[in-house]
Amino acid sequence: MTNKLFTVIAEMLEVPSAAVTAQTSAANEEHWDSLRHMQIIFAVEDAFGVHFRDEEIPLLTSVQAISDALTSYGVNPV
Amino acid sequence: MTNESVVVESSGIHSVSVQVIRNFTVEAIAPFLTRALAASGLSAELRFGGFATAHQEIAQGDMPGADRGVRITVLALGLEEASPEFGHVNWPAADVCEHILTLVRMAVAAWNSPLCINTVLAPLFQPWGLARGSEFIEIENAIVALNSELRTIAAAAPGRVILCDWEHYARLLGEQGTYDYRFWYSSRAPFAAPFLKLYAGDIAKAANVLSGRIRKCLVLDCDNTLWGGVVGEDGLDGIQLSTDTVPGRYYYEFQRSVLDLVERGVILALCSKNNEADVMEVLNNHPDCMIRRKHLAGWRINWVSKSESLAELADELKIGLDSLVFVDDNPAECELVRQMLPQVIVLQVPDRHEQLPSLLFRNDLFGALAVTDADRTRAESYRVQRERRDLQRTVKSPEDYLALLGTRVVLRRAGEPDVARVVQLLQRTNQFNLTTRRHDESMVRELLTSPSALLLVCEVFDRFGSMGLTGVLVAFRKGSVTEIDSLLLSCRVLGRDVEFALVAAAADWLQSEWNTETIDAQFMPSAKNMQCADFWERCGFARNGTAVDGAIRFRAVDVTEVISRNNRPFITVEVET
Repeated sequence: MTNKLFTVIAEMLEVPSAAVTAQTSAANEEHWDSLRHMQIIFAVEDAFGVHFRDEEIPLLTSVQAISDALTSYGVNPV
Repeated sequence: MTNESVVVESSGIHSVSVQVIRNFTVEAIAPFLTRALAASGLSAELRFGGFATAHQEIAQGDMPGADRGVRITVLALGLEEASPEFGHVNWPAADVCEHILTLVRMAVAAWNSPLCINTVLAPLFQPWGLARGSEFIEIENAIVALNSELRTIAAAAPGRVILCDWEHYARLLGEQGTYDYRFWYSSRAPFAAPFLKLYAGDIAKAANVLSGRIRKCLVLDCDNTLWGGVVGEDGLDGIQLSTDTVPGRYYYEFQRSVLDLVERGVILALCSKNNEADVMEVLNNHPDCMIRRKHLAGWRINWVSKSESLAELADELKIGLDSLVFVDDNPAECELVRQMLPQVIVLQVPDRHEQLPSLLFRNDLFGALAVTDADRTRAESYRVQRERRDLQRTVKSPEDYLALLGTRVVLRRAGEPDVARVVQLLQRTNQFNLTTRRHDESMVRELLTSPSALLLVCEVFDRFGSMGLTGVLVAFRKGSVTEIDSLLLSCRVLGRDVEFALVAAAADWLQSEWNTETIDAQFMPSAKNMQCADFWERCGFARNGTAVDGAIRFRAVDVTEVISRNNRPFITVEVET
C-alpha cells in the first residue's frame, strides 16, 4: 500500500508524500484537524471515485482506516 | 472534456494567493482549487478567514502584499448561516438578503484587488408544500432581487469584481451535484464535490486571466467539424450544414457559437487537410455557412501535418502556441497535435454530435474578465493584417513596404476610458513586453492620478486604417531621472519600428514636460520576450547593473540623443495633449 493514497493525503496535509505512512493519523499528525479531515475525505473520494457513508466518515481518521475502507468498496488504494 | 493535464508555461507569474472570506465552511474547495490552478501551472497559497469574522475582515480592506504574484479574494457568502431559521417558517429572508448585500457592497468599496463574489441559493426545501402563499413569494422575491443586484455589482466593475454564479452551477448540477448533506449537519459545509469543482474552476479561470495565461486563438478543422461530411468528396451541396435539419443543424449551431466567440475578441483560424479552393467555396457560397472569409485571421488549408500548420499559424499571427485552442474530429490528428505541441489545448469533436453546439461554451477556455472595444473589432483588424501581409509580398524591399504603409503613431496620456484596454494589454502582451509586469486595474488607476507617474498610450494607424490602442508605457519620475517601468506593444504593430518611434516620442515628452535628463529602463527576461533582450541597447541605452528582482537595468544620459536616434522618417508621430 503506497503512493496514490499517500500522495492525495500528503497534498491535503501539506506535507511531503514521504512523510505519510499507513500509520499517519489524526492522532499523530498535527495538521489533521476536523477541517483537514473534510478536505481529505473530499480529495480521496474525488481521486478514487467513491462516496463514503455518513457514519463511516468520523472513523476514517487514519491512512490505514481510509485504505481499508477503499478496499471494502472494491477500490485499490495504491 | 476539459483538458486538465495541460500544463502551460507562460509569463513569469507562478503563484496565486487566494484569501477566502466566508460565512460558512468552504474548506472542502481546497483540493479542487489546488488542482484547477495546477492544471495551468499555477501554485496556490490558500488562506481561509474566520467563521464569524467575515464582517471584520471585510472592514479591514485588502492588505497590499509585497509579492508581485496574483492575489484574489474570494468572498463566499451564503444564506444558510446568516440566520438559524434558514428554510423554516420564520426565516427573515429580506433581512438576511439585505445583510449579505451590505457585506458585498462594503467589500467592493474597500477592495482594490480582484474580488470574487457569488450569487446565493434559495433554500431547496421549504415547509409550504402546495400552499405557496405570501411568505413564499416574499422569500423568492428577496433572493431574486439580491442575485440580480449581485450580478449588477459585478458587471459594473469588470475585471475587478468577478461573479461566481452559484445559481448557475446549481441549475447545471441539480440537488445531487450541489449539496452534500453529510458535512452540512456536522460541519456546516453545504456543497458537494461537483459544485465545488465548478466554483474552483471559475476562480482558477480568473487567476489565469489575471496572471496573463490567456487563450486567444481558436483554430478549427473543417470536414466533420465546421460541417458534416467531406467537402472534397461530397461537394458544396453534399455536406451537412443546415439551419433546420439534423445533423446539419449541429454544425450550423456550432458555427454560431464560434462567431459568438469571435464577437468577444477570440481570433479565428482554420487548419484543414483539404484543397483550399473547396473550403473557400463553402465559406463564400454555402447559404448556411455562418463563418466567412472575413472572420478569419489566417488559415492553413493544405496537406501538411497539422502540428506544422499550427506552428506556422502561431508564427504568422505572432502569438504563442500556448494561446491556441484546436478543434478537430479525428482522434488520431488530435493525439498527434497533443504529442507534438503539448502547449496547444486540443478539443475533440464529441462522438455525440448533439453535444457539438455547446462544446466551446462548456469548456470556456477563452475566459476574459471584460470585453473591450478592441475585442469587438479584433477579427476585422486581423483581416486587415492579412491584407498588409499581401502588400508586403508585392513590394521589393522592406524599406519600400514601410514607406508604403504610411504608419502614424498618435501618443497621449491615458485617461479613464482607456483603463480597461490598458489592463487588457498588460495581461495579454507577452512578446514585446520589456518587463511583463501585470499591473492590475487598481494600479492602473493609481497611475492616472499620481503626479510622479506617467501612463502613455499610443494608437497606431496606417493606410489600411487604425490598429487601435496598441502601446503602453509606464514611467515614474524621480527628480531629473525618469524610470521606465513598463513598455509594451501589441504584436499586431510589430515589425515596422513603431517601438523605436514610441521611445523617441516618449523621450521627447519626458524632456519637455518633466525636464528629464536621465532615463532608466529595465528588461525583465521571461519565457516569451527574449526578442527584446537587446532593445534598450538598440535604442542607445547602456547596461547599468541588475535590479534585486532580476531585471537588467539600462540607462541613457543624453535624452536628445535618444530622441534623434530612434526617430524614424517613415513614421509620423503626433502627440495629443
